[in-house]
Amino acid sequence: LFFVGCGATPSAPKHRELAPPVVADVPSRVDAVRPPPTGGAKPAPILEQLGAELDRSMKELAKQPVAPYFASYEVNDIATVNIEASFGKLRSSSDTHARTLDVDVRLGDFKLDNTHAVADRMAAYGDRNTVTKRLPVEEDEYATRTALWLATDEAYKSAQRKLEKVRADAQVSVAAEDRSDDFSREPPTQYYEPPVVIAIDRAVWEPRLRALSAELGKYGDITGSSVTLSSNATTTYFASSEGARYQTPHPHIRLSISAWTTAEDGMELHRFEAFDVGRLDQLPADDVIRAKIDVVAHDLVALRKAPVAEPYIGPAILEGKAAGVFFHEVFGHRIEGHRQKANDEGQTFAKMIGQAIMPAFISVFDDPTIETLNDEALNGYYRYDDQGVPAANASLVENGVLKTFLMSRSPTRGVTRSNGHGRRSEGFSVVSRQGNLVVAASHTVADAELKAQLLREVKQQGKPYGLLFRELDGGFTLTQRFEPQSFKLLPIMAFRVFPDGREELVRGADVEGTPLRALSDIMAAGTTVATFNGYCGAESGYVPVSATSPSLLIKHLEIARHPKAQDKPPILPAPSTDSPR
Amino acid sequence: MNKLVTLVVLAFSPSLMAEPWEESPSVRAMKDELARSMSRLALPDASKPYFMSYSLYDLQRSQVRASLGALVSSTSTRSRSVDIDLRIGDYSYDNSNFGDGSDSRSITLPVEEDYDTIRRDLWIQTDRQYKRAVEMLVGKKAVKNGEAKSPDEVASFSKEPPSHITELHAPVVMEQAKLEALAKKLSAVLRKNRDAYTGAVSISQVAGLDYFISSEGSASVQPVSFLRIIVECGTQADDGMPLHDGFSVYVTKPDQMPAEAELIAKVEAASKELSALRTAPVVDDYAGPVLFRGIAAAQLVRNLLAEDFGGTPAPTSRPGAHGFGDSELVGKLDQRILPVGVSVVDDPTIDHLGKLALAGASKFDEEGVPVQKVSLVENGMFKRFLMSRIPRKGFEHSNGHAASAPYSSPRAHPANLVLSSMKATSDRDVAARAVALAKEQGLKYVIVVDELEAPEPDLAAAVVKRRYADGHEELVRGARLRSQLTMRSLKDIIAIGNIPAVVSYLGNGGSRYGTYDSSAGYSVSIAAPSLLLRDADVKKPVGAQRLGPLVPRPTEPQ
Repeated sequence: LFFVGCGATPSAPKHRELAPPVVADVPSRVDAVRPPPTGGAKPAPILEQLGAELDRSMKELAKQPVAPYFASYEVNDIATVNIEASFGKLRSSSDTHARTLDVDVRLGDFKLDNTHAVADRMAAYGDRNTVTKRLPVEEDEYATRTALWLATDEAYKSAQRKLEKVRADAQVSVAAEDRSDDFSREPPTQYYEPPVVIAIDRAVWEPRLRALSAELGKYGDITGSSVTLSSNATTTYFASSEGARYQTPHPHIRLSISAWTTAEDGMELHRFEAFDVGRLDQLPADDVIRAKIDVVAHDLVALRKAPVAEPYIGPAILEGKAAGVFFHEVFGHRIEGHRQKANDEGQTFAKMIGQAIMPAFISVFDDPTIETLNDEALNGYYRYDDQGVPAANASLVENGVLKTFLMSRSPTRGVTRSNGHGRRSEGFSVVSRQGNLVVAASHTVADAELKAQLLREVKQQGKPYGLLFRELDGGFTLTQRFEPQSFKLLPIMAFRVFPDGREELVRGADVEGTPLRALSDIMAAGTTVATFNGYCGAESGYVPVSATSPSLLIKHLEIARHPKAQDKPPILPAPSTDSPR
Repeated sequence: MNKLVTLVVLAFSPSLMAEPWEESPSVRAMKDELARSMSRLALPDASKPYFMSYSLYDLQRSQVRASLGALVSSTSTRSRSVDIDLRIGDYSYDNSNFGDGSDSRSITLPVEEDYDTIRRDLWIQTDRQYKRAVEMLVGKKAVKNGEAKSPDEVASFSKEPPSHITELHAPVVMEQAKLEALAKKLSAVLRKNRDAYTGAVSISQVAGLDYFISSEGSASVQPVSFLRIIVECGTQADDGMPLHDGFSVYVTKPDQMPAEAELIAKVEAASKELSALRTAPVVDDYAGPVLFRGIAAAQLVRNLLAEDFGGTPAPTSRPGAHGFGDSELVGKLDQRILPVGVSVVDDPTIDHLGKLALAGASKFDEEGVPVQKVSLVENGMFKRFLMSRIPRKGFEHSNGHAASAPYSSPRAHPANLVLSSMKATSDRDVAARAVALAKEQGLKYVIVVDELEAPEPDLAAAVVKRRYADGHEELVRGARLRSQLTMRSLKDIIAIGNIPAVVSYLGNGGSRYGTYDSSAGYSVSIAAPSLLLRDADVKKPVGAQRLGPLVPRPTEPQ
């Protein structure tokens, strides 16, 4: 998506989250629910077909001069429903059903194979390690296996060309600093849950969304808005030549509220909230949704009148969701295992295992097996990753000391095994990614005390005001070596906090910084914990993630101007408020 | 509304049927927002619009794909969009036809009919278009100021009488389940052929109504629809050469749709041809006469000539900007571009040529102008252009041929282009002439083209044969012809048949732009009889072929 196969020079990897979710009034705890395994279902016909065709292909390809040592098929059966209402009327209502196939074939051996990074990325352009196709959505063995057969042939030939380039590259390039293997050995497992079905009753949902979306029509300053129900019922079927087989459901339902407007100076403003759940009955009642719509509308009206933020540096509080995104960008992307390895990566933390990289009261882990945390469903929940490895908790930082990385089956210095974080969306090759990132503080202070500490720090630094960030849109980070090792957060609800405790909303305040400095600047944590549910985009596509953190007090945060459109607001008033027709 | 013919199979129900169409909420919303914008939409230092129009397309779009008898995807969505044309300045000089010709004047409306939400959407987008128009006019003036005044300077926008056309026949549409069944049934034919490694059938259906209202008082409505079936199959020859076969069917009226048995027969023929291609000899380099037969002749006209009849001048552009170029026919007025006796007309007022269905028929074009028959080439001489409301020197008025390629504003494009000759002979005579001509040049055979490789998404592969003196023909593979030919090749047509064939497709502005949205564009038919070119090159493929599949094909489970 970003720097895989994208052209002349590797472009900037941008890790950007879409859309935050609900603010739940969470207690100051890390109360995780990890559901026990519920396997034992009957494998679906498609999974049997994947296994049979994979076995046949491996047997036949073994006759080739260069035989594959590994191959896997991953099929995602994806059924979506999307219903969007705006100002009391349906804007769109659609559904889709598709089956995608990702074929991975590895030639060479665990030590060196076709997936090995080639210094000259252009030379390897076009030879993908993963081949993607659409499959029939019907159970039709012959049509399905014919598609598998052709895709496997294509993947094998692509891997063959790529392996030649890898071997040629090894002849001319200096030895890599990290001489880890290309693929880790993992025991294959079998696990079968029933496929997921989400039944959306349009006769119920269409009127409900109409009614909810009408609420936003009461605010004349809002130029556009929508209330949307998106349901995604994905069942993943995975088979590898090592004998791994799994069938797992990934239900995701999101009810989102979105509204936007333009300030007098042309700055485009928007506000987004969402409820993310795994089952329809977990969605909140209308009064809860209406209250959230109210927050969205009021925030947007306030933002329209808010002053524009000026570049500034000073102490700041990041409330839970903002702190979660902060950790996702500043830390999470930099401890992805493959980034410790690639020669063009910044490798900020590659050699810091065992070293203190943040204050001792902070611990960080990433655990995809948590389904709900503090009673909130987490977006990054899954049982098996996209390489068939069981998801496991990665205890990344213990009392400020770096312990390990997020690992796929691509080993790196000192970490030879996967911890089930190899992820991708359909059509991409797997790399290590975050799932459910959780920041825990061994001691916290009450929220009022955190604010008091902020004000003391404002005084200490001789600043006119401190900063407070409540809601973020997302952020991105640059990790490649030729780029500045930096991150950017995109706050929506940002405040100046004056020495007398008064809070003033400002708009257009982007947070910028560098990772090592930012982490060492953490001063204290508050008791309130919150979760950001979103989607993370990187070289292996968009994957659902969450980030949970207590509020954090940061000694110095820098804000920069947000880019803004130059168009003035609409010249004529909204038709509904225009006097004579 | 008793004149409404309800042929509707699926419940396609534009909500305006219950009342006069001009009273429907969306049309009222368009009229009201248009009136308000015309009278009051202005920035302090810029003038109000002098012209505005809204085109509403209220459509049901279906896409179905099946592979080897199994369904791969099936979607059906209601799609309502409005194209906005907003002009500031005046008829003689305005903001239009500037830049690279691309634009974003289209908005998607809610699927539900509602006066307030539609007006709100129109308000926001009209405001945006107005601001773009102000920018464009300033930019265009700046570019013009840096150029010497051209003697070919013409007005920016032609004056045309407003149109009032009411055609409310809802188009016939096939139900989704029937589309799915058809795609499965047709692709199942290819399943039986083990040579066909891939065998897919894609069906697109778009059907609905097109409304046009303008500040000049135009208020018109007409049905729009098309149904397109694309059949593709592929394999590899034993030497590794990838081979494709297939065809497309494109119709705009239900009575034009071939019967299922006929479609199955066509798929069977394509399947057989694919197998035949596997063992066919590879084409050799060839220079000599080439006979374009059947739809290959119509495809030739499509590729070499059709879009160049569009007379819309190239946009004024900033130095170095890329965009639509001028037609190759500029400067060739009254010159011979085709052999003596050949005429070309474009007639969007007809939907059949004899028994052959034509897809380009409509009542009014995308600028609301009633369509007209235009005589383009007379006795081989180029006589006039197809025009939209953007004039060209000597062509000050529209002839109702405005259409838009995806993501661009309307320009003149062909609709139903018909090439014929007063000197036509029977196809047998044309073939005999071809063989004789080849013999004169010392060639053992003449190359006959039955189908040209078509640009995506039609995906037709070239079907090329060698025809020998005794009349027998031999299929060859690997020929690529399109790139070897230019418009000039058509001056050297030396024989023309008397039975036309038609190729119909979704136009996308010619090959200059790819179609990102394969269901956006305008319907075109090209009709031409067999054409014998005096001299053309055919090249054999160069370079090594890839290996065929290494693993044997899976077998059909019993």
